[in-house]
Amino acid sequence: MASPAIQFRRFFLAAILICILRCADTLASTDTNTWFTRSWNTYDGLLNDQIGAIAQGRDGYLWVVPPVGLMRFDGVNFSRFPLENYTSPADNHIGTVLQSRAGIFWIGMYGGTVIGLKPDFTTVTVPQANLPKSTPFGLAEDQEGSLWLAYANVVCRIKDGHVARYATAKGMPIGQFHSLISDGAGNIWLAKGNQICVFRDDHFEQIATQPEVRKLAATPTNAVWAIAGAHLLRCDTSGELLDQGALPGIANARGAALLEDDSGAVWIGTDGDGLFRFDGNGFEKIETSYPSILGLAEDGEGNIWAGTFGGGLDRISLSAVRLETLEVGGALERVQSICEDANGGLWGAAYSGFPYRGLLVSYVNGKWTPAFTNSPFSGAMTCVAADNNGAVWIGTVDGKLLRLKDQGLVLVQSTPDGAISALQPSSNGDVWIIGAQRLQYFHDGQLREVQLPRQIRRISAATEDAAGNLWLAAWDIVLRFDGTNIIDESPHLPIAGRRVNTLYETPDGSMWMSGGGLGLLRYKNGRADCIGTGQGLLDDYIAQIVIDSHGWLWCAGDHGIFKVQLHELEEAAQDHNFHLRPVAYGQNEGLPSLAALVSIGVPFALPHSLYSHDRRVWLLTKMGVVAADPKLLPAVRVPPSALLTRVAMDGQIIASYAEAAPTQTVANLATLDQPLQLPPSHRHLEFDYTAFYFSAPENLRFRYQLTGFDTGWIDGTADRHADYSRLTPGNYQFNVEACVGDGPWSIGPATVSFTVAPFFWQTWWFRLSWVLLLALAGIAIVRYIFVRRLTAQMRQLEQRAALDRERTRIARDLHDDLGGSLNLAALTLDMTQREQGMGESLNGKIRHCSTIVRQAAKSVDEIVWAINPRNDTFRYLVDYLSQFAVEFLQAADILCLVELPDEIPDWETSPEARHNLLLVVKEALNNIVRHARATEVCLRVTISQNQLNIVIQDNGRGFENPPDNTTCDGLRNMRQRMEEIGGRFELDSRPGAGTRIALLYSWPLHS
Amino acid sequence: MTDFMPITICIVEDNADIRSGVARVLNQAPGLSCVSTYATAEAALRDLPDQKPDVVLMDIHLPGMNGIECVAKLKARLPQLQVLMLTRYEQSDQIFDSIRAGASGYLLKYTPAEELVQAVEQVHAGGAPMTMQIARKVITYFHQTQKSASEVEKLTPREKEVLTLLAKGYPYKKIASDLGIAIGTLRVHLRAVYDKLHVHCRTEAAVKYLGRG
Repeated sequence: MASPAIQFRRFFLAAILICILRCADTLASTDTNTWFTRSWNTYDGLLNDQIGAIAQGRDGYLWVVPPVGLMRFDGVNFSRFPLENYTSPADNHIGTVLQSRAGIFWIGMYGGTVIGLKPDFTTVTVPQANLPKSTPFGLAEDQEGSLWLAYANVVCRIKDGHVARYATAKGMPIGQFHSLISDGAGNIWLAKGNQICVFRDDHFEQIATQPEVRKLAATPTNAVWAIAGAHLLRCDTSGELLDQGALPGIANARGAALLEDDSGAVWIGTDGDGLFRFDGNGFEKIETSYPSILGLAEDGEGNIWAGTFGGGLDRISLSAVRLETLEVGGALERVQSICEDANGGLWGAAYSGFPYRGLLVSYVNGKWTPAFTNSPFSGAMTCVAADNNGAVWIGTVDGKLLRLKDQGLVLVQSTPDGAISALQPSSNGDVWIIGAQRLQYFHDGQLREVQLPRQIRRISAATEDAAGNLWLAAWDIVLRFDGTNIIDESPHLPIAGRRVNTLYETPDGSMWMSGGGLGLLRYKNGRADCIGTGQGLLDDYIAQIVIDSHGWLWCAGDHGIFKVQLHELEEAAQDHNFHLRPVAYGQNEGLPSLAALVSIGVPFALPHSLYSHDRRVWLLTKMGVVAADPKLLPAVRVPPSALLTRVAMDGQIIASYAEAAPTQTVANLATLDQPLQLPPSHRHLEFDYTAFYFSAPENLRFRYQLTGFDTGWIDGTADRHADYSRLTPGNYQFNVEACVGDGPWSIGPATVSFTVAPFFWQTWWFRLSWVLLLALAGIAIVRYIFVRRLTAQMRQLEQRAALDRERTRIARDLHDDLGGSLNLAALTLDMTQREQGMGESLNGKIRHCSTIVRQAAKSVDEIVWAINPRNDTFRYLVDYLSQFAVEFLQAADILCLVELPDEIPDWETSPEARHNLLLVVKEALNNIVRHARATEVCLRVTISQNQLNIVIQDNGRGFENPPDNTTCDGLRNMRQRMEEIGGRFELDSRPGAGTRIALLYSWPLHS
Repeated sequence: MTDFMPITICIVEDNADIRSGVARVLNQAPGLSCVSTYATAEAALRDLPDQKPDVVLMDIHLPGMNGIECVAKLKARLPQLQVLMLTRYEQSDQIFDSIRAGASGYLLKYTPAEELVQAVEQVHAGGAPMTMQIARKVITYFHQTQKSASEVEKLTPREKEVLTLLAKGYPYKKIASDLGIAIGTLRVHLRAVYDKLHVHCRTEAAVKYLGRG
């Protein structure tokens, strides 16, 4: 047996331990700790409602072991871990698991396979051949890091790849195996049969005998907890057993799981009798989803996890949010108004059942109980309110204003016209009394009324602001009474058609309004901004608002209770892209749906929310009073880190977090160290990610960013999924971070890099070739057009040349044949005339004939001149015209003065223009000779870049109107001829001042 | 009249009708004698110099060598030869070219027989008929070449006056009366202009027409 010194030491340690536990107990008892349980079962994605072992991996995942297979849990989703990647598919029954300090997750399979998963999901080499071919039931790791495996009749140690066996010869007790653990000091403990053993000197030393001993649990020191029957024992390495007491109310408990948590409390899971917690002082029964507990574990946040035989996975945590109901026996009992008196006592107005009974209730010892039930006013209360001095005022359904005084109710004032909905003690000592359609106030012992506008039908909300203004809402009308005037604020507010049922002023001077699906409307400095679910608000129908001293605005709405930071709301009001990070309560705390209360008996009752002096938040729901103690809310010890779970392209997973078999072409996100290669033809990219906050997984918020695509973070949603459509070629990195509430974001994002390859037409060489091809095509087209145009020009020239040749031929023929003959005829006639012996009359006829023939010859020559293409220029035209004019007029004995430009350009002119101009000039000269009686004519020709100008001016008698029809026709002809060639004909004549004819012929500018 | 030698004339004309017609008209006229006719410039160049005629009527348009070139070559061999160009219509460029090549005037082919005869007699007598267009060209020509021309080759002021009035369309009569000179004097002036033009052009013409031959 142990020496006296050792015994003293044991006693001393035990005494200290008891002291510590007592202290802890005293500390704990200052608050009423409430444990609550949240369960996940097959409805939530578990493979089986029977869960054995539980362990948290280094990456944050919770390993959960159902009878078949292995699952991972991130707080929201369960996923099957592909054991078949590490062992044969038939090998999927797990005997036991162990998360080692070195980060290795050990799995002992039925049949003997042992798998050690490193953090990167590669495996540790196990000397499988030297291990028994039977199922290991226990796994432990000693201080040297050696792995211990407990089989039915043998314990093995794997050290440096060598297997050592410890059987009866090495101190192994006879009997059923119960437990193998290592304590905080690294000692290996074994419970087998009735024996508790410690491994020392290369053998198991049986240090204590304890009937019914079942499970052992490690302590931080070299001692263990043991459960034996209903008794919890503590055993140190000397073998001394310290009985901590028995589980209450159970005669024959069978311990099935045992755990000491971070705070030193011991959790005892039994086979059929539920879960107990021992805090050093006593045992507390903890509710679970199923009475048989198979496994216990604590996560990094301090939550206790219990695997049950039939209820799935349970999480046990401390609740900071409590739901308190009122028990007076009525069918429907709810507190609808709440206040706190000067001593911190809480008072409420509650209604109860049908018919309506309005009760005054007080909060005593954590329970709401009716007060002053025998008061004559009992049963009529609608609302309670406390003024600045802590005096409690009460309104009744029949319009009475009561006051709580000296432990009794005193009638202060009776008001006319029905129920008092709300009481709002004013900062100046008055009390606002608000009825359905009436606003009154109690001032210096007198009741006064404020006349409301007639359109006020039914008041739905009221509050007093810091400046002493009373704000009233009546459906979509919001009024402000500044003590003198009633100001209608509605025109500044986007509330048309909505029922405003909340008014609340925050210390920054913002007036918050809600109701009617508005979300939260902030009215500040005359500016109204709405914040809704689109920006992450959890509810658009908010009925109660109260702010705590940490800047959280607590809201109760149709979808329950949540809080959001005021500064985030302010930011969201200014920036409509800002995303809120609210924190919701209810579901995670295992509470029923917590819709905000709707008052009964009165349209609304005020006040309906409270931040008490002990810094608790009180909100009123249909299920009861919700009390939230922000001090007890689970602290976020470290920012949650995000983890990428899957990357999918067009619905096909291309990378996953340790899910794929090595044979699959799916990258492992746990080990990926180079960018993923994506083809250009992808249409859709999806990223799945997660983070771990098991205390309230729904309150995790994520933000992500695809660098190379997004310019900033995509903010703040609870979704664990992001998708992108087709990306242009380039390098990208997907980053994701997580946070809880207003807490900090992850320290460094989870990332995956990838490269989108270009389509061949997006490559530089393709683009270059394309540009070259285009250039070549352009050149070819230009060349083609050029050649075509040239060919056309050539053809035109050829045609023209052919025409010119033809004209030349005709001109020559006319001249040579016709002209020659006519000239000869004329000459012959001339000679005949000279012959003697002809009568004068015959001679005259011959002369006349000769003149006609000569005239014909001249005409032919003129025609020849006109036909000949050589003469298609202005110079020939002008030469010809001027010479003709001179000769023609000389013949008529009229002096012709010619003014020509020094240089007449050789520009081509069309035969039509030439012909018409010639004819017009001839006609003009003819007219002069025939009618003008002129002695002098001036022919002036000027040529500019694009115009030929011919002026014929005579000094004849001139005319007002054309003297005869012929001349008239002649003038019309001349005008018509000029118009035919696109020219102009101008005539200027006055009697006695001669006649001036101007011919203008234009053509497109010669360049 | 019989005391005088008749004016001998050669005709170079490709149109046989006109050739014979003109020849008959000339032969009928007293004091004129058409000594030979040629259908081509080549034939004229070969045989005409032997005839040594006083006046040649030369068609501008001839098959093969044209009349202008022919004039230049004939004038080179017979400087005293007077040449009148025959043309169908007023083609001042060609007429002026002919004059520069040595011709002393031109005739339209439809000129009445009397005027034809007069023109031949006039040119033989030293006259030099000049139209408005030719006058214009002469002025332009002398204006362009004035700087390089020697003093002898320059036009006198009176000659310039005559040419200017002529270029404006004034008839001889009017010019003569305006300037207070006889028509004969006017003709002398014009003849002088022609001669200067010929001298002027000789070098040029030698290069242009004779140089090739």
